[in-house]
Amino acid sequence: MPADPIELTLLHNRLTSICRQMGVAMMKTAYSPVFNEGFDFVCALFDPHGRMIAQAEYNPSMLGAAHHTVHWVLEEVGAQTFQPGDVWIHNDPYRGGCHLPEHMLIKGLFHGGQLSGFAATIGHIAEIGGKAVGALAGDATDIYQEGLRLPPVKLMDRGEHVMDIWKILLTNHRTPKLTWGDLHAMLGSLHIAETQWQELLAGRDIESTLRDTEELMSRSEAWMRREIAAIPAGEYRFEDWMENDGITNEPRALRVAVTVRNGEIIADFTGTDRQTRGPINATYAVTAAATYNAVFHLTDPQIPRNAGCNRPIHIIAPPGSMVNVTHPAPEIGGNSETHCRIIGIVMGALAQAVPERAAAADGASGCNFLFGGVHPDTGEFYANYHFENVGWGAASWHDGNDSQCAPLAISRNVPVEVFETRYPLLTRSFRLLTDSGGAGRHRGGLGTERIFEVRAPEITVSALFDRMQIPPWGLSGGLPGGTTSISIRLAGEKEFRLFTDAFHTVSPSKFTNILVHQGDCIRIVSSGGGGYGSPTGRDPRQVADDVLDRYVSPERAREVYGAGSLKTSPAVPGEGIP
Amino acid sequence: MTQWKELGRARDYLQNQAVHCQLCGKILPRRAWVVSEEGCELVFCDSDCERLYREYWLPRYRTATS
Amino acid sequence: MAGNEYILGIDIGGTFTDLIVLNTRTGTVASAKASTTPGGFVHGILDALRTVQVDLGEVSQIIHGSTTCTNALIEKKQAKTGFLGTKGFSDEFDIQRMVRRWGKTSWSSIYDLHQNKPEPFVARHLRREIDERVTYPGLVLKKPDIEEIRSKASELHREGIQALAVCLLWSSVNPEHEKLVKQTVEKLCPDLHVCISSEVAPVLREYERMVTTAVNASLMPVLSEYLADVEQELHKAGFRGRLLLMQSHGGVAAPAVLREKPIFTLRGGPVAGVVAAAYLSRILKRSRILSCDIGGTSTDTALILDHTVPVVDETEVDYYPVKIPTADVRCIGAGGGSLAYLDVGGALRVGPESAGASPGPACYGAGGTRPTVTDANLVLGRISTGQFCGGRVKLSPDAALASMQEIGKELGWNAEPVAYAILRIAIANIAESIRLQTIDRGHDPREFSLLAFGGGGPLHATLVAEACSIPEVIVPIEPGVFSTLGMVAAEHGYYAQLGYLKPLHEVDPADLTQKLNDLEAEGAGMLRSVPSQDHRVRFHRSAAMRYTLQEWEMRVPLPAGDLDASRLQAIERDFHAAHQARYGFARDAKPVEFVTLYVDTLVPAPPFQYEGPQPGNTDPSAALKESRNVFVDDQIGVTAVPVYDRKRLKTGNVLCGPLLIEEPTSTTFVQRGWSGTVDATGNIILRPEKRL
Repeated sequence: MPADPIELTLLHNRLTSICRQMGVAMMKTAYSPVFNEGFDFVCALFDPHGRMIAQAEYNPSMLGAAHHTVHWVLEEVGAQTFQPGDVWIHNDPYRGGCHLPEHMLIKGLFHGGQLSGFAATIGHIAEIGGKAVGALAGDATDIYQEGLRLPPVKLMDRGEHVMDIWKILLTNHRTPKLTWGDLHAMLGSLHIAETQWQELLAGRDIESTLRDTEELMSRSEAWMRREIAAIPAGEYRFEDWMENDGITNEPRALRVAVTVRNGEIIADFTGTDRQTRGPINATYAVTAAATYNAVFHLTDPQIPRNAGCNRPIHIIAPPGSMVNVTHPAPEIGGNSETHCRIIGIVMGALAQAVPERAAAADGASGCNFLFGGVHPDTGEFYANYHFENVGWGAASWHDGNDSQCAPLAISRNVPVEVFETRYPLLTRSFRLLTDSGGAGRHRGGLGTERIFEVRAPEITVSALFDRMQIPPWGLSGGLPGGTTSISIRLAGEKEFRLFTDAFHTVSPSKFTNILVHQGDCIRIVSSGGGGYGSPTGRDPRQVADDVLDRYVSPERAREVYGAGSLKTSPAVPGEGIP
Repeated sequence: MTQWKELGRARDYLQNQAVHCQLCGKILPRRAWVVSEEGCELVFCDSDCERLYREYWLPRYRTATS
Repeated sequence: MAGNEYILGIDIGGTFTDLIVLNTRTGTVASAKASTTPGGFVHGILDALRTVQVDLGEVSQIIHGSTTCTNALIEKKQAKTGFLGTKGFSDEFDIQRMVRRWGKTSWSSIYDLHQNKPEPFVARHLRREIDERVTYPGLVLKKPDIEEIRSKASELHREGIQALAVCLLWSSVNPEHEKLVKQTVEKLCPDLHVCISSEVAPVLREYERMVTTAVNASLMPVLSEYLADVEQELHKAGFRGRLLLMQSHGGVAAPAVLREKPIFTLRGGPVAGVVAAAYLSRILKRSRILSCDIGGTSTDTALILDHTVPVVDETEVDYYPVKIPTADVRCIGAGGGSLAYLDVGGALRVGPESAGASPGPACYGAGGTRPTVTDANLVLGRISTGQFCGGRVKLSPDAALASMQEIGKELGWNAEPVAYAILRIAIANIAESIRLQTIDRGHDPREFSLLAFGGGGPLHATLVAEACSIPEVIVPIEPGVFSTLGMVAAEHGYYAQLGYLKPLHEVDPADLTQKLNDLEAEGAGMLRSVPSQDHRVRFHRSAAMRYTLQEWEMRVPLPAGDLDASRLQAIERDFHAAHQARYGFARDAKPVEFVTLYVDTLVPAPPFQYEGPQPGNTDPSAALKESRNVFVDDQIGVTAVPVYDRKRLKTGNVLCGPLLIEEPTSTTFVQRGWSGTVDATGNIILRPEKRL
């Protein structure tokens, strides 16, 4: 009997709503800003075979990876071992995970004593041990330096906490209170999934419900195939570089050949450089998630999301290369930095097929800044994972958005007034950086500049940036966007200097555990988006508006847009610091 | 000849090496879709990866590898 | 009618002015409707007053739900506004704090490249910064320089701004610098409307606070001008009483207060319905009511527990986060005008896009061809062609049928199944929204009564109730203008708040008591001049609290009177219990902290009553108008159902579905399996025959 389309719509909405409710509870109860202000988590439901049947609109990179992570866990431990009240925890990049901080909790959903599906959440645990305070060690040379690794193990056994696992976790993480609070928020959201799932099935028959979810996946798959079929068939190549791996300061190539044919897409990364000694290697799950993400951005955003959307998208990622890391190479920057670049090259390749639908490169760096120490006011140890939003690429229909989370996530920035209650870093300024958007008929979005002042005797800082040397590309004649940077002005000095200069780090963008002191200032610049179309094609009124609001300086307007003398507002103090 | 075959890798915590799909490169957790061809065993995630291996990978890379 | 004294409630919509009039001597209420005259505030009022035979001179008080500020924002007609902020932070207007999935609904796609970030609320060239800085927890790091304030304010003044918003970092815990700026600027530019964040929204999180301040500042000239016009017009027409405006949280306030805080009038329209529902819940002794107001483009739902208007601390106005106490009304794009379509994947969707008032649903015959919920109801026979909107709009059944064709062809269905499917999806969307509001927050819908009003509420009420397991439906008298009742029922309220970021174990009970007393004194001062027959002032204390290290707060009530250590402990226990109820777990051993203190000051409205219908027996046949063919559901299809005239129903009449009840402002559809009675005041109370 064919499924009733009305029933299907209702079921899809209901399942999505369960995932959203999981997320709301998680956001409201978690302890780390990266969860509750940054939305760096996902909530999804899976059928008994581990296929995603619904998701809520949280972190897209984790959503893409969750297909692979859940699949791994069910393959390794077996779905039949799940008992009511069991919760498994997992973060192993070498067992289907994305990168070490991303912890997945998965719970079987039972109905009438029978396993009828799974609920899973993935969340970014901010401190996981390892060589750098705040994780994301930019110069790790193997995975053992990056933090505590967990294969699938039980965190809850039939409703009881497995204290041995908790003890290992809380001992190895530098900020156990945050780990405790965040994992409990995740557990709470699984509890909501469980009660809602019971409600859903109360009026239904499990077999027909699962048949309906099957049909939902088929429909999403068919829709996605139609979308892909509308892209001109062919093979499209693109390449871009990671500027260095934190160990040797030289660029590494990422290459893709995207083949579009018969309603499917093959993203073949053969030709990408070998995996590096430093931590910019991506796991297969990361590469797959980035590819899905790029394709989803170029197809109809309204397709109901489930495993069906991913079926027509194939990823070929040679083992031992930067896009499919093998043991024991480090991988922690693969998800934040390389992930962005993989999205970019897939989008860049497809832009050749559908230039009117694609956008120029976004800033594409998390500008990950890690720090920690003992808080002088409380005497307690703290650690934080801080990231910045970037300018987005311009497109045929609009200017890129300013300061927006890179496409791998949907995070928003943490308010200064929240930040300062927790950490002894004073934010001196947080502003848009004039001229950081790539020029073009449509202008790239602007990046930001943030200056922190150290207000403690000492703080340990680390960085994992990219896009400091190779700027985000423009499209169809648009110019590149501004680059990132991280620099320091030591107390008593006048100028900001790169860390290579001030502390002799190998890489200017990736380093760990530098001690900074009271009165030192750290300046973080996030990248702007690339422009679209030739700058000479830009409407002079838009140029004038940009200059009036100093998104573009009068000098730059003259130089790139050929503008005459225009009214502008006063320059802000400190603007244009190198 | 094709069949599903248990690899036993996932549960073996004494080993660090992994088995990858011949086509896509993904690490295989427990079992593989194994194809015996000209005395060689080729391992895949599933039959879809085998299909793409024949339709896409072989025509493209056969000369390079042989 | 000499010697009478009246209170008027007025809701001015785009097409109609709804009016309610309360005779404070007799406590009786009457309502009226007139066409809205654009630009002329009093014309509609005078027309409507004539139909109820009341003279404006006899009116002591007018309560008005103004949409002036809401409309100014939607139409971008707010005043030109400048901004002064802490050095280094004014660009947060551009940077914002959007989750990358904004949209009119809060859940839009995370894969949409076409999303445009909202414009900065204050343009960059109209912003200036002052070299000053306060740090957590309120320590002064750098004092502002008066000369700098003067020169920056003058620069902006020369740019032609009418209003100035001021938001300095950490002003929620130390407002001294902001106060200095306000003093200085007001002296320098007396014509400028100045608003400082610590007065309008003393809350943590600087972006949300600065946007709230800027939105408020930009509305100050708008509301001031509007109020001046209205007061003048009313005076000319002979009105000598007092004018009050509805506020976003359901209270009312005098123009003098709202000129400074116009932002509090946002959503003054939809909130009236919630206040009315809270009022009726008390009369009917229902402690759990779900108010469901279904209009042309949207459905507004609210949970009313213990007869209280639910209030939240933050809302969103046209994408911008606004930190003001607002009635917790969930609005979804499902109404009579919601458009139905098949998406690319073949799924039937209804709304949120609406056909609006023009062209309107296909059956209006005004050029619309796409099917809407109203068209579906017409095809199913549930609304009559001649009675819609009191006969003001004639409906075309042929146009409604034709609008179903395209979807019908695609699905291989006739018009009726298509119409029924559209209705089911619309009902499911509303039910889903209600589910998020009830189950999501730990409330069992089976304990609730659904109070249905608005033009479309009674038409869908039993269906919605069935879909979300609500076992009782209440259709009030005159459901189409029920909202206006809220205006005369609304309490006079002033809502004060204070930033109070402090761990509970560090709180000195005497200090906390003092702070709360100060807030109560502030509220009492604001409401001192409110004329009310009953001057009992009530205070509601509450606090936003959280576990230390948690980011998001939850509001918990605080006890009245002096606080001591044991009462602080009780507050802590209440917080754990509330957390348990809301999120399913508590952390009894974890430290708890205060974030914000609130005191709501309330003065009750005068009592009143409706005159009910005549008493009758169980037989409603005297009210029978006709019998009509109606598509009831997919099991019994089309069948003849009785249509009753609401006016002629008597107290005690028993009604068994399926049936229709018509009245000028609405139609009630009672589903098969539901039945009910008319109560002493005329409300129709419906219940399902079998347990849901």
